[in-house]
Amino acid sequence: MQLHHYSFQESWNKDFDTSLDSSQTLVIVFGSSDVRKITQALQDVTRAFSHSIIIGASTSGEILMDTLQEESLVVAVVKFQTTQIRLATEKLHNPEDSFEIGEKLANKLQEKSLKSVFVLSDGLNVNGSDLTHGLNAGIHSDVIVSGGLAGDGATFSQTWVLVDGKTSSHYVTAVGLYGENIHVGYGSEGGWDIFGIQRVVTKSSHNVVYELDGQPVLDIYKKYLGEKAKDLPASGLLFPLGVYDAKEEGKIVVRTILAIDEDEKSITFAGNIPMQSKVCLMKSNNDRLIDAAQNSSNALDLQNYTDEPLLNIAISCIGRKLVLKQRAEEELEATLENLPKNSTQIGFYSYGEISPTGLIGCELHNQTMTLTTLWESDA
Amino acid sequence: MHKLLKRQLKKTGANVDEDFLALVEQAYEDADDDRKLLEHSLEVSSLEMQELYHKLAKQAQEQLKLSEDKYNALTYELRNHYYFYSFNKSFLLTYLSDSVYNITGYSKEELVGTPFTQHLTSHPMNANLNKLATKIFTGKKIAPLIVNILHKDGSNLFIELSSFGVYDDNKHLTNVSGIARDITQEYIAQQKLHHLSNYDALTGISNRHSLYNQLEYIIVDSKRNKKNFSLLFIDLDGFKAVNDTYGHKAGDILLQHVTQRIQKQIRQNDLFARIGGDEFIVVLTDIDREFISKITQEILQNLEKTFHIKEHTIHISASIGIATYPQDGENTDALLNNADKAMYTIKNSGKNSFTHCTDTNPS
Repeated sequence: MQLHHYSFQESWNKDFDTSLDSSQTLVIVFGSSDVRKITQALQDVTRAFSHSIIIGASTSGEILMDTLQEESLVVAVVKFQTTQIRLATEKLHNPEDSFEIGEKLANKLQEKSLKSVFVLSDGLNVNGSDLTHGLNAGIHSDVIVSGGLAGDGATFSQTWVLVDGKTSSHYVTAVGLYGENIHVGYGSEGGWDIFGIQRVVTKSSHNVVYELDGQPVLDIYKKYLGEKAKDLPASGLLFPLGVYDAKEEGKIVVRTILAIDEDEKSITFAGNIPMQSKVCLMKSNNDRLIDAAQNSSNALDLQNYTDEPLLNIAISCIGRKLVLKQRAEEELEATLENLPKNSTQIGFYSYGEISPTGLIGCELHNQTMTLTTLWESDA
Repeated sequence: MHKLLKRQLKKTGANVDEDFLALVEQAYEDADDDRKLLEHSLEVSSLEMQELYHKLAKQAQEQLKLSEDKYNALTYELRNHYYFYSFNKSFLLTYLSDSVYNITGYSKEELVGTPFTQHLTSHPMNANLNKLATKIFTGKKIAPLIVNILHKDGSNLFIELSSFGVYDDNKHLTNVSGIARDITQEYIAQQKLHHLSNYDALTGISNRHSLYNQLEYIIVDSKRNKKNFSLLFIDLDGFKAVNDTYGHKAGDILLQHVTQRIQKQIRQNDLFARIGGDEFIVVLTDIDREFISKITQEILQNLEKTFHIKEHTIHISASIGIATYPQDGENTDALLNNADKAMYTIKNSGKNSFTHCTDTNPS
């Protein structure tokens, strides 16, 4: 496996090595949601790697190695030796179709030699929980499914994924990796702690919550945010909602805010929150988040790895960036420190992370640092 | 500029790059922001917890009050209907709970040390009490029993006693303890019900239901002791005309007078019942045929005499059939049937007379 990475911030940091362009080449790009800043750069990429499969998504901050960039484009070019790759794309007309779209993508990619699927989805017009459930329905449980939901800074206005080289909203793309020699690892950690009283969801529908303990959920968030309430929905990311798992005692799923509705006093979360769920607000601090990022890389399985080039795709939640601020790069350093020397880290701050849970296929995560590592052994 | 940063620069006199300074300043402000948000959120959370605490405390208090009320209602019920007692082998009361006062009007101090039989009435139900108490001291279990005692104010109380033996370390029975329950109200109600179901409301003598029950007993007794008894089936002559002429009310009064006149001719313990409109039964035991005929004749003569009911002067008579056990029937139905038939032979042959079954049906 050959692996190069590039960065565009007003100009490219270096020339492309177009010798890597092939049908077994995967080009991954993460870029600014402000398309004007990167249109030219995207054209450069599509022109240089016209035979390759190119996937990409808009971000709330681009990650390259241990640096966080804004209004840029980061690119990883991976030419596999033996691993086969296949792209699947589906248009998402509305969030209610998310399960069906997940299932369709899965059916397009599923075959015996499928080892892993990497998914990039529109970050706003999707129900992330349903999408992962749809993927699980069609993909064998041995296959590692990971990825993320595109971001849009902290403005929650419009996200894109790449479809035929063009930035497009309302799409989900997925790439399948096939063969015996590709090795895929994963890890996902949050670092958020519950605080305050436990509440019960008294009114909700799918991923929209209206009331907790009979009070409008938006009022509760505003009360907690104080002055920062004016920055909703972004400031709501400082207090994600912890949802207690009804089946597994002690397990808490973290759900992040995607949007608010002032008229209905409701909040749209990145995943479903059923009625009668027990929930609690969550908070974190720099140290807890950075420790968690480190733990996510500790969890990576690098058995049999020798010294091959390794790509680590780091997808971290926008909510973490809002808490960490200038210290966001410390979590990127923390993950990179734990990786082998020959590693390239690329990634983005997202509106949701997808990673296996270890039991029932993949699941949507929020407010986590989620890692996917790829390396290829010799044939 | 952030105040702290400004002071630090002033103190050190450092000449710092502007971009660097901007980042440091931002970090200072971020840290302040984080602290403020944390403090604010903890304050909100603390208030919410206090509210929740007060809400839960109030709920707990309400629940406690509810259960206290229930408890009080229960103990009130217990205090007014139950008391505990113990007595020793000499039948002297050794212990009484305070609630004995609520029920009997006597304080426990007035009663402890006195015989437990002290306030018993002469009611027949108390007759075997000493015997039963002795039985307990032999270690035998006895079923709960009802006693009749007098309240301090002189009123009647019916108390149900559930007793059990109390043993010492050597397993010797030393005391009898138990729970006394005041059942006066239900006992009286039960007696009323019993009276209603066994006695004729108009005349106060036994009704058909009671007659059957008592006859069963008399038949068993007569069979065992090989004794005879006779059953008189009395039907009034001309009673319908009295009702038609003077009204049902006068008829009812006449039946009461008839009852009194017959009662005068028989013994107190003889079974006497009204089984229909103007049909009466008298059962005479331990009397020979000749004497029965004599009593029957006297009944007829008494009923023949003028009745003065309100302003009316009324004359009636009676027809009587007599069946004798066992020759005229060995069970109640047979005896009643045969006496009835005998009575009808009199009705059909001029009334105001009597006959024995054996006379009307020699076979």
